[in-house]
Amino acid sequence: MEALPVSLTINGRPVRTARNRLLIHVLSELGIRVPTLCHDDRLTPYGGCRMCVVERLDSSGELVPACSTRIQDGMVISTDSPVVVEARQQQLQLLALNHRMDCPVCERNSDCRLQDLIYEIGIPDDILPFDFEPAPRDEASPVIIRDPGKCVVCGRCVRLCEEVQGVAALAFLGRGIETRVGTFLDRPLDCEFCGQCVNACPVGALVAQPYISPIPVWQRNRVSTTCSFCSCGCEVSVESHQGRLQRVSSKSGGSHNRGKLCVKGWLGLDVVANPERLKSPLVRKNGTLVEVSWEEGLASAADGLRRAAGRGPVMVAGGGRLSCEDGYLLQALAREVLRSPHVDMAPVGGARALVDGVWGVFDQPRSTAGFEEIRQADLVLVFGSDPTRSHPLVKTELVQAAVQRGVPVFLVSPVAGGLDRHAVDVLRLVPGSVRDLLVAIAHRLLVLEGASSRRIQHLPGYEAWRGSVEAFSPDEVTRATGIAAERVDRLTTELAAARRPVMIMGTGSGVPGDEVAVAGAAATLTALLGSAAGLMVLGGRSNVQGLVDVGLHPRLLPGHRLVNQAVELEDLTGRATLAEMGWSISDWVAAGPGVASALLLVGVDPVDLLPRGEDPRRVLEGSGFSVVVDAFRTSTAERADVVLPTAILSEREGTTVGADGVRRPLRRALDPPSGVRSDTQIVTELARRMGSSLPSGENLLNELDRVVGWNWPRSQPRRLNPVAPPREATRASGFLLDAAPQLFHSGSVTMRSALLQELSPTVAVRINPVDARALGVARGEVVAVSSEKGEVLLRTRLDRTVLEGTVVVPWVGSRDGASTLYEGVGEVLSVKVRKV
Amino acid sequence: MQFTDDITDSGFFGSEGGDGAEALDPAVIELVDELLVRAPSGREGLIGVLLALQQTFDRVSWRVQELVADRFGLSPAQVAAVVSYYPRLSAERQGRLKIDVCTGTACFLCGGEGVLGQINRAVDERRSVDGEPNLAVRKQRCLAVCGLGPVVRVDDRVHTIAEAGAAEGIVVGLVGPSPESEDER
Repeated sequence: MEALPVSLTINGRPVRTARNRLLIHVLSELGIRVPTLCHDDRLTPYGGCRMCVVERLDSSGELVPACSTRIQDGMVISTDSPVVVEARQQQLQLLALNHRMDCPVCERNSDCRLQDLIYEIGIPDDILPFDFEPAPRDEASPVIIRDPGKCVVCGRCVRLCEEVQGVAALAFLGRGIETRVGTFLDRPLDCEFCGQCVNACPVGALVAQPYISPIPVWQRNRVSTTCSFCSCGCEVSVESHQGRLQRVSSKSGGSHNRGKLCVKGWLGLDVVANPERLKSPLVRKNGTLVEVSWEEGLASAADGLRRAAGRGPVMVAGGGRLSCEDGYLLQALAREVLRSPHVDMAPVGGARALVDGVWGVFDQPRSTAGFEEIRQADLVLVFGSDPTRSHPLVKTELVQAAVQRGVPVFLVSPVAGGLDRHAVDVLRLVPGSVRDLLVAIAHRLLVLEGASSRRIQHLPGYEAWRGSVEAFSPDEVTRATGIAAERVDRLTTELAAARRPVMIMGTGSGVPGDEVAVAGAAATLTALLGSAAGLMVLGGRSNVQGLVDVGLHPRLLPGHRLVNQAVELEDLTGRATLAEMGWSISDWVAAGPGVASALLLVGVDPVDLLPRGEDPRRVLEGSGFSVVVDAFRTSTAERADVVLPTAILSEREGTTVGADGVRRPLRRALDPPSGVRSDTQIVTELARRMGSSLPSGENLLNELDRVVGWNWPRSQPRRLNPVAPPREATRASGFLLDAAPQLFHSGSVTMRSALLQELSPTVAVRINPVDARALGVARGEVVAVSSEKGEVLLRTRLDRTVLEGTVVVPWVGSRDGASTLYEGVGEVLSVKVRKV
Repeated sequence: MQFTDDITDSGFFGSEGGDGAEALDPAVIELVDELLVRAPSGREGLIGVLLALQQTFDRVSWRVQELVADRFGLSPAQVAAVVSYYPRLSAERQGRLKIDVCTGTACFLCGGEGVLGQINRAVDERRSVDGEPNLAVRKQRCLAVCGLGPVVRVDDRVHTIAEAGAAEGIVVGLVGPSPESEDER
């Protein structure tokens, strides 16, 4: 049989299988579980702990580790012979020797691989003539406690930190019997706090301080759900006891994130227990918000909205973390009940890139690549933002691609980040010139490799597009982007040679440049590279893609239908919708106060999200009536007439769609505070009080299947659009501003996690040492960064990776940082920097 | 103000932490960069560069390890792992004179431990007299002349059957006059 060429004998049983596999995988397929401590399928085979040894009967009975031995034809293996059992027992005895047996008081009691193995396999009774060498416990890091006295030096933490997270904060120090896992200079861990090491530790040598609990694991309630912090859609296992969060972890098999988490997913869930959570509805009486009953809160909200709908347009918006179901119900409430076309989602990155950028070129407003494509890719180009901060799972996939498979990763990022050292080239370009770079690559591709144009010649708009890219001569592009022509050429040549290239576009508030133009250029380049190339747009919140799909958008009805396809939609739902295009949140804010008669904002905080320049506060205060549904008294809620408290994150049920377009379940893993209702309940109840019934339960799920379905065919290019010529940014005020997203926060929810707040560094402005010297500013000194809209005082960090003439400020909402300086989202801003 | 090498500020940890690195002597930075030009590209060149630095400065200090890590695109912990693995590399100054006392099985049984104690005492005494800072006494597992133990190696010279009484003589005889103090780098 050619298909299964290798034949071997395992425990007397003949087996045929494919070539070059690891023995442990063949064994596990046969249902033979081999004990391991150091093995991890996400890592390159290691063979450290020797627990998985099996006997090779075909070659003088040697013991080989199953985890790192590749099968050979004719192998005869025994997994349970007396020799194997004895070897494992002795090995375990040696491991246990240097493990402080604190079991009864250990945080990992009953959840420990070593404990399990000693119970299963047993250790010999004889006492070995060595002493246990005590090692001090390190509790200096705010979240990760290291206890070397319990470490069995399996190295899963060290290897994950290096091969998967790409940080290598932990390393093996010393050698031989003195080998230990440590940090540089034994400093407390100062890393990305992804928790990979803690989740992989088989014993209690690495422990998460916040998750130390007296409740044994087997008494906890464990629910597998989808993380809602970003659009990676990671599977998380949330453990709770009597409604209280005990631990967040992730299973290393099965789900697409393969057990990988990030600081937000791992630790950020403490936000649900924040004492500032709203617990009862608030209604404004005599100018102040006072607590009222749900009956009164809902009645006031429904009455106010109904009356306002009679007077004029109502603006309805939902946050980027709403579930697909809630997003769908919210647009139905607006279009069917309030009869308002003004439906939008929070002004976060991604929606415009998908709808106006990608959809302008491809036939669907969706990414054409996902995590599987990244794993198959032979070249990756990342631009927009470093996913280390915004989409940590994507970053780990890229680290694995680079470290484990040697895939070239090209990174376009304004500031040093975790991905830098794994990239073959880091392009630090002039803020706002990503589009120019992408068009330039397309132009160079046509010049270098005329044949590739055949892939797009047939598309409408080709001639006009082809003419417009002529303006992107190497000189022009270098002037606009600051990148030398040779580097653009190298990237182009490698892209042309790649068989399965993937482009990853980061989006987010403060990323300079028009995301629509960038996404359009990226989609065009994807089309030019052929059908094996992919583009993944990373939405700024967990469900941006899903909310586009369900029509929480001013110009899109559910299922990517245009307003002229409303009849088709009505046939499927049996209810009348509104065939009209509406305003976006930005349109509404730009229109000024008094234009909307009322506002319904569900999980969206425009006051904090939008740049100060757009001043949503003024517009919000000028609207007749406003209802805010949120978990906290956000800056927007402060100005509302009715505030309804809602369930968030893992307190919710429904589905969410990741940046890869995959729909995943949200399961209720924690109970919301008593008295708090879900978005679903609130939206449905508001509709009921206005005399309409929205679908619920099974009916809602069936309707979503009919209307949206999530079973689109692969997206295809449909047309090309001419591009504007490259433009050199003017440094009118001295510097160009670039804003980088933050690892530890993304907005009003993460800001309220005590743990994430503790871990996040102080906001500082990064500046090139050469510029700093010219300004006479030293590291740590305070400078004023100002634009026409505002000024912020920030400490400086000297960073030679920042382009001269550019300063980088993290975007952390409007509390401090960059947003104060902006007039509008995505603008390329010139700022003044002066010493104070 | 020192701007040339603000290495920890560039955030190569991947996190945004790590402020306040003291500046290195520009001559050291220059030397490292010179070594890098000649070293094979990628991680393959790391050990060669570390060995050259060890030879020049008699150690690879923590600050230099950070610099090397930055230049190789590694984390400082990864460099520390290599430095701590090889006996020929060390973060601390190894001393002008290196005295290796074998306490491997054979030498141990012949009284190596006793020799080590004597040498340590002799060295301590010597230090208290003239402050000789450049002596390093190291315990070794095996110096591969097991038949002639206990064995003591001073720099590259091996003294076999180092009787306990001879240990002090070895120290006094080989340390010589107090060396001039070297500048701290």
